[in-house]
Amino acid sequence: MKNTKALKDRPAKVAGLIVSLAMAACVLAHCVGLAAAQQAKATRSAQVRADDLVIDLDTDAWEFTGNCKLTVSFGHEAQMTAPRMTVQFNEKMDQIVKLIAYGVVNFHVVTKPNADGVRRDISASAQKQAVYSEPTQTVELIGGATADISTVGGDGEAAHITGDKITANLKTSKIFVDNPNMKIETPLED
Amino acid sequence: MKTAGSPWGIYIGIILLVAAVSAGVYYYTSARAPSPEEIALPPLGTGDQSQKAAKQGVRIEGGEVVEKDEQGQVLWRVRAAGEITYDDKAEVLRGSDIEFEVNLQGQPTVRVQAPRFIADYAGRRIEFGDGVGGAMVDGSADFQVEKLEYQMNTQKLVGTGGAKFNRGHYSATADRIVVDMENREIRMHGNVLLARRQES
Repeated sequence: MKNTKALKDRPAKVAGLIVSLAMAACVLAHCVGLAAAQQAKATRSAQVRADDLVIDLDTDAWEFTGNCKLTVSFGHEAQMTAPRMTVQFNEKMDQIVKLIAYGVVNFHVVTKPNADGVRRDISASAQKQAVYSEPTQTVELIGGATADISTVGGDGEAAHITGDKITANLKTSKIFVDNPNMKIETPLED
Repeated sequence: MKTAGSPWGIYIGIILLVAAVSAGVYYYTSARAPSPEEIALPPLGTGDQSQKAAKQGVRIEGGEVVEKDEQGQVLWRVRAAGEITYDDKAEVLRGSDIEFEVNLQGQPTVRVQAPRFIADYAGRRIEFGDGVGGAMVDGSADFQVEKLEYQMNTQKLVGTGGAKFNRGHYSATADRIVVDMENREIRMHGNVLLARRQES
C-alpha cells in the first residue's frame, strides 16, 4: 500500500522538483544577467576633463574649452586632447553619441594584444578636428592626419602614415586611412 | 488515517512565502525613500512678526519672503523651516533650513535648499551655505555645491566649492558653477570632469 502511494506521488514530486529547479535557474540567470550587464558597464567608459564647460539647456550641447582631454577606458585606455570639444548625448542622456574635438587634436592608444600577443602604440594627430563615436567605438582624425605606429617592446619597426582622414577602431584595434602615404622603417640586422 | 500533504501545497507555500518577503522588502524600502512632498517646508511666524520685519518691496508672510519687480512679478521667494530674522540696520535677512525659488517671468525655474541663508539687500546678493542642493523645477537637472550666491541684479546663481551638476546618467564636477536661467545656460569652471554617474 505504501509502495503504491509512493509510486503514485512520484510524478508529482518529480514535477515539483522540475518547477523548483526551473525557478532557481531563472533566479540564477537573472543574477548572472545583472552581473554581466554591470561588468559590461564597468568595462567601457568615457571621461572628459577641461578647464571650462558651458551647457546649453535648450539644445543640450555641452562645450568644453581649455586643455580638453577625453579618456576612453575599454580594458585599456585611449586618450585624445584638443583645445575645444563638444559632446552630444542620446535622448535618454545615458550615452555619448558623438564627441567632436576642434583644432589641433592629438590621439594616443596602445592596442589590445593581437593573436601573436603583439601590442601597437599609436600616436596620431589631426590639424582640423576629430570625431569620437561611443556606439561604434571609433575615432576619426580629419584634416592633415598623421599616425605613428610602433610595436610595444618590439624590435624598433615603425610606420609613419599620413592621409586626409585616419579612422581608428578601438574595438578591433584597426586603423583605416583615406588617401594614405606610408613610410615604414625596419632596422637592419648586422 | 493521517496522510502526508501534497508536495504541490508545499511548493505553492514556498512561492507565496518568497512573494510575501519580496513585497515586504519592496514596501519597506519604498516607504523609507523620502518623496519631495515630505520635505515641503511648513509656514512659520505670525502676522505681527511679518509687519515688524516688513521692508519696502519685501513681504514676509508666515516664514515666506517674496521679492517682486515693479510690475509685481515674483523675482524670488524663500521659505524657512528654521528661524528667520531681519536686521533692519544692516538690511540683512537671515534664515536657516530654507527653500529658495528663482523666478523668471513670474515662473519658478530653479529651486534651492540650504541649511543657511543670508540676504544682503544693500549688496543685492543672497548667500547660501553649509552644503547647498538645487534643481531645475522641470526636473531636467540638479546640482550640489558647498556655497552658493544669488546675484539679484543679474539673476544668476554662482556656486563655489565642489560643484556637481547632474543631468541624465552623467554628472560634471568643477570648482565653480554658474546657473544662468535667463540664458538657459550652465557654466562650470576649473578642473571640470564629465563622467557617467555611479549607479547605486
